[in-house]
Amino acid sequence: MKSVVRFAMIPRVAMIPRVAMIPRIAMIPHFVLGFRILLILSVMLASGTMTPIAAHPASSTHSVSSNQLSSSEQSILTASNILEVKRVDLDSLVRFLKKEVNPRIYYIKDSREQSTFSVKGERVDFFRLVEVALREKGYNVSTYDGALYILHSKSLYASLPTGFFDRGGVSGDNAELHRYLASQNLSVTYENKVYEIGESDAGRTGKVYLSGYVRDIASGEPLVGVSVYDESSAYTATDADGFYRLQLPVGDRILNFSGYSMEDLHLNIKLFDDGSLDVSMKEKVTALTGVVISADDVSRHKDSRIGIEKVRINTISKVPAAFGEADVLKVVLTLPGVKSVGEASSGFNVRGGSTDQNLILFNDGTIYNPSHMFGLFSTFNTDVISEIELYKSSIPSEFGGRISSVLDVRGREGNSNKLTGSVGLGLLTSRFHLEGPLGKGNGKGNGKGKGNGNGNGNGQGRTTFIVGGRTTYSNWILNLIPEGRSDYAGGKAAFRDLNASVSHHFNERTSLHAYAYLSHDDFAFQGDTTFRYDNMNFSLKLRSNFNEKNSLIVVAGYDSYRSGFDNDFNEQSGYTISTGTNQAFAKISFKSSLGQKHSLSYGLNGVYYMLNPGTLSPLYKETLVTPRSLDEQNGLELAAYVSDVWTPDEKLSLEGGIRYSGFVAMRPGGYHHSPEFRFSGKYSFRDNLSLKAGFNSMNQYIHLISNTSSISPMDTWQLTGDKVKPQKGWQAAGGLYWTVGGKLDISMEGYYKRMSNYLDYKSGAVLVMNEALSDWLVPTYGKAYGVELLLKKTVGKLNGWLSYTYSRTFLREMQDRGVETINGGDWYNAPHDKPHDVKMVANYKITHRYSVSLNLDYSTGRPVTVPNGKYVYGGGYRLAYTERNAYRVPDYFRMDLAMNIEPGHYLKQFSHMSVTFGVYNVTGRRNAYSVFYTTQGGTAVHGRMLSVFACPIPYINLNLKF
Amino acid sequence: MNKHILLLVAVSLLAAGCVYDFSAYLGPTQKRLVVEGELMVGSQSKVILSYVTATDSYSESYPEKPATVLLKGEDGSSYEGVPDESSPGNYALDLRKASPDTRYRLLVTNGDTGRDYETDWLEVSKAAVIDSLSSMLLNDKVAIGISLHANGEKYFRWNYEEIYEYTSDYRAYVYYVPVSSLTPAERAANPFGKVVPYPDNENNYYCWSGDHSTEILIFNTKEQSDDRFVDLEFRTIARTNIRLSELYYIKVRVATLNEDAYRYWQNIKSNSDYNGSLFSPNPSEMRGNIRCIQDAGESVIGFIYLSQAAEAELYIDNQKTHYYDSRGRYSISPELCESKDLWPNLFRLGNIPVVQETGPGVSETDPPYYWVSKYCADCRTMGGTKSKPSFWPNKHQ
Repeated sequence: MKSVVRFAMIPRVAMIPRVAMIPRIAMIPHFVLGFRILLILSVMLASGTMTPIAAHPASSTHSVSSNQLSSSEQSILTASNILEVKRVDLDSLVRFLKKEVNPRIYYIKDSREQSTFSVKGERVDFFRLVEVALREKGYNVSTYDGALYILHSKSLYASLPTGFFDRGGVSGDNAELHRYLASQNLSVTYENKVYEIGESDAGRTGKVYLSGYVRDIASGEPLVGVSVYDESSAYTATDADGFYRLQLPVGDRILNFSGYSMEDLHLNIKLFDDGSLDVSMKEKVTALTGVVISADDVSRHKDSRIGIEKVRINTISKVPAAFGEADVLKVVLTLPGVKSVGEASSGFNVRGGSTDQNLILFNDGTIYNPSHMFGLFSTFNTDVISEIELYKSSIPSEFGGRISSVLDVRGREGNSNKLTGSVGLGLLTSRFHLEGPLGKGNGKGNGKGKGNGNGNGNGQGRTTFIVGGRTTYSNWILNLIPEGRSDYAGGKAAFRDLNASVSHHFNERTSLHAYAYLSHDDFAFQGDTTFRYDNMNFSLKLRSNFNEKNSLIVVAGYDSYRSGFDNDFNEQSGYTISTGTNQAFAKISFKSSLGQKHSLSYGLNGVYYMLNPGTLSPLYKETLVTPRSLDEQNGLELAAYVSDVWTPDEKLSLEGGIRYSGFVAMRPGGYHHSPEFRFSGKYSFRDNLSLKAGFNSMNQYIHLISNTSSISPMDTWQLTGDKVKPQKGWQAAGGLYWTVGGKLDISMEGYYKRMSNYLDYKSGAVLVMNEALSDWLVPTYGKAYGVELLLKKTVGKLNGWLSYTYSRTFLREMQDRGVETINGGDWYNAPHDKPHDVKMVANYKITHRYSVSLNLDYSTGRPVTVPNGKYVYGGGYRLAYTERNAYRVPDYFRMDLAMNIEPGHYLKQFSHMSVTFGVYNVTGRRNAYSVFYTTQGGTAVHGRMLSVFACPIPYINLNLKF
Repeated sequence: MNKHILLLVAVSLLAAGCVYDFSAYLGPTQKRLVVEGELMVGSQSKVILSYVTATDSYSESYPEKPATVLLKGEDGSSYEGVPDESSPGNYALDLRKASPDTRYRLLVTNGDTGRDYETDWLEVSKAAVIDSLSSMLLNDKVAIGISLHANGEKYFRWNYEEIYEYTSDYRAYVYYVPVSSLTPAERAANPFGKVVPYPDNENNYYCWSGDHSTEILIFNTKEQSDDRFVDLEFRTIARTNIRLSELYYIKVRVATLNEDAYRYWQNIKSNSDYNGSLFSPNPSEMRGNIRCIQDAGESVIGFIYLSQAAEAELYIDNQKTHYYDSRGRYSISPELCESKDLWPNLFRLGNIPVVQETGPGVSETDPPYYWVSKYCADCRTMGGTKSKPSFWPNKHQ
């Protein structure tokens, strides 16, 4: 039998009580009482009564000071014993009491509590003395059913619904109680309540399952990546739909919910049976968070996977970016281990991988070109994104098909309570978004508590939508650039994109989501050539948590990337070339909890590729150009995977997965298959110190053929076939994670990585419209290694991160082609090999409304191929090249500053305007995108440096939310 | 949005995204041999041997000792390269009588090293037919286009030579002979030098200058049903350019290539010209088709090919086209110098006499002269010479 408790849990804004949760240390047999305790906080609140706990005989003197609390000492207690604590804070005091007096102590610490306690006394008297000391500091101590409760007496519980505690939180009509609570949800501080899951007479022992959704209280939007954990080893994070499932022992627990920009929530629960608990969290308003990446330190220490970075959207909007457009990819580039070849380049490189080795997913659809306007902007509209997650090392078994990394960009679900939206204005771009509930009768009052999970999803569906779009009006700036001074001069550039998604929740367990994404770019530099490309993605996702232990996600969709360019010589010879990369995909994935310590994931993925490597057609009617198409390429990639997370105890967690992937090339023919392995493990020495290691191997069946440094519309994608082997890669990584004082995360990760069959091309190869392209490709080995150090502060007025990376990446031809072999068959620097890299992102919150952000970026210059000499040929000077990538452009350095003004917190106001203004590249350093030599039509040799943003660029961005 | 901020951004963007000069030491230069040979069957051709030099050096380097250059035909014919005394490294091959229907291979021995180089047997590609050269006026420029067709040949390279006649701003009818050039007897009579009229047909008013293509001009009809192209612009000249002022002549020589040779040129072009912009390909060197017999690992630069010759020429006569825009030409007016004792100084400062003063009361025997800067009256100061090509249609010297 299961029962469901459904509450909105809203921590009070002004006052943030926290239930600190302390691991139970040594259970002292005397105090092992029955499990069936009814914990009702009102008892203590109302009466202030307390029962001093009789101390027990102890035989030695214990003295404790704040930094010396040994939990391992198992002393024999005698009556003559003196106990002493000196200047310890409340947490330490409680820990001491737990050990010496009563293991079952629950307390809510005032968030501003700074007091220290010094108590000395006979063991028999000790607790009474502690109580006196606590009372002096404003705390009440009470007991109920053998457990101790320490609460701050100033706490305002007056508005709790009358009769609530009298009901004891048990029995009676749950549904009625819940409705009542929901209606009061703005006046209750739920942290002070005990939630019962299941009926007290369920008679379950061992472990039971608790699951539910975590949502934003204001918008009803699911919160992704929120850590849910108790004081033991139970840990999980909410998935893309805000869903969590946790296995917990029957009995009293404190369940913690923490997510980077949300108020932490600590709930007292009493578990009798499997059940569900939906939680609403509130964004931190008073807390001074600005830039907060990645997870909470909690997930860092609980998750066994290595090399994962998460970024919430509110972080992204605060990192200064050129032209002030909040940009997902620019923030990804501030993370350690991520590099790009230059400022205005599409794509990024993760741990030595090339740009085509990143799987970029946007609501499960694959994005082939993540940039707008030759890399100035990313294709993701930040208004409709909730979170991005970058897997640099441990790639979950459910992902495959690329050998370097996975960037998972998740769209938001629309607000389920009311219609809202925003309009953003920048100097080059503007954008809008709109979201809200669809249909009648939805989201009135509260967006929670629909249906009651007991299986009778009585048709009360909940449908929401969100749409967003962006466009640019950059031509006015391009027109201002004088001719001849810049690549952009005389150019034209335009882009637009549109996102739309609709989500429907049939009931609490099952939901359906439809996503659509369209983007278009076209631009021309000086000259005859106009470029263009389009991304298009559609997907449909069904998720169902069909019972407490099992959940299912089914996704199907269609992705399309088309690019091309026009060469407009003249009416007779002008032509246009277009290429297309299309794929239909389906994924089915299951998650099951097995036994007490295993959590299993398994599923199937399939991708059917349809590639048009090139179609050439005339631009004009009166033409000499003959239309021509290269043979279409088709292939089917299939993969099955299974992985298991095994958590034997709170210190150790191991994840092992195997993914078997195969690829059948229908055209050009051929097939490949091999297993991929994903292993990772963590060991926590302490709550705040963990060690992780991981190994993963990957296969990739689609290849980007490019002769430029970044992704360009002239590149083509090529499928694996009988001539082109699949790319393979493996990475071994290890890391050490240390959280100091709950404020500062220090981590160090190291990796070693090998790749094979990465495709380079023979000198002189023509990559577009080449029927025999595969004959022009040469497979190479890749080798990369590095160390990443990250210092991150997530709380306080000043927060942000600082990272240093040392990394190297090399390539080497796999075959010996005699004198033509690149670099004589020796290792040479990969184009993105930038050994030293220092990045800093900092945000200082001056007041609630004003904050300042600073961004620093230093890296070694990237390798380029420079001429080794010149010679006269064909009447003019030409350049001779020998070694590839042997020279480096000057080192890169950039500093950006921004000021963010948030709207005031006038809740009744119709709209909120936030303003960001700043300066990109404050020092105006002329960073080299490239260093190159030209002969200017053969007349003279000139060394040149192209600098994309060679001066400070001020910007302003207005954002209006309504 | 605030207009001032917009302005500020616009102004600062003017400097963004720019190309700056850059110089750095790029490491030692390898002394590699370069063999250039576009062999035009049915015409005079040449093979040029040189070495790679440092990018920042101002000189070119050629083999010091004479090389042997030999083109052997499969039909038993052979053509020996004759060193051109005026151009180092150049070896002339007279292929006017060579047959286009046989295969050839080039053999080179570098006199400096004694190493031998060879190509495979190479076929001669069939001539293209140049339909026309044409000139078109495009705003402030004149574009020269080429139209040609071929039967089956799809890859073309052409180069051009241009010769133009121009004049100085003023025609000088007289010239100054400084004292130092006079005989002692004349010196006494002309203490300040003397001004002498030009003989007939002699002047420094008409000059000829020439140039040749330095850029790589290639095109292909690979994507076309018909192997021809029409009015493909390959040379643009600003209307203010002095080349257009009188008579301009351009001679285009087209070679047809096979795909490999074309690709080689294209690679050189992208390596040398299309560099460094956001989407330009990374440079990489392609191997040519000439190899060292003694050391297969030596990387020699150069791709030898043979083609039947196709040539065409075009004159642009400003008298007829009126392309030339002289507004850009700025000159100063001659001034009358009344006192002979100023002559040596005027001359030393770069002035020359142009014409004598005429009119009532002016001395017939010893008139004053108008003087002007030689840059306005001596065409040779603008780079040209007095050597008129033998075929030049204009009569004047």
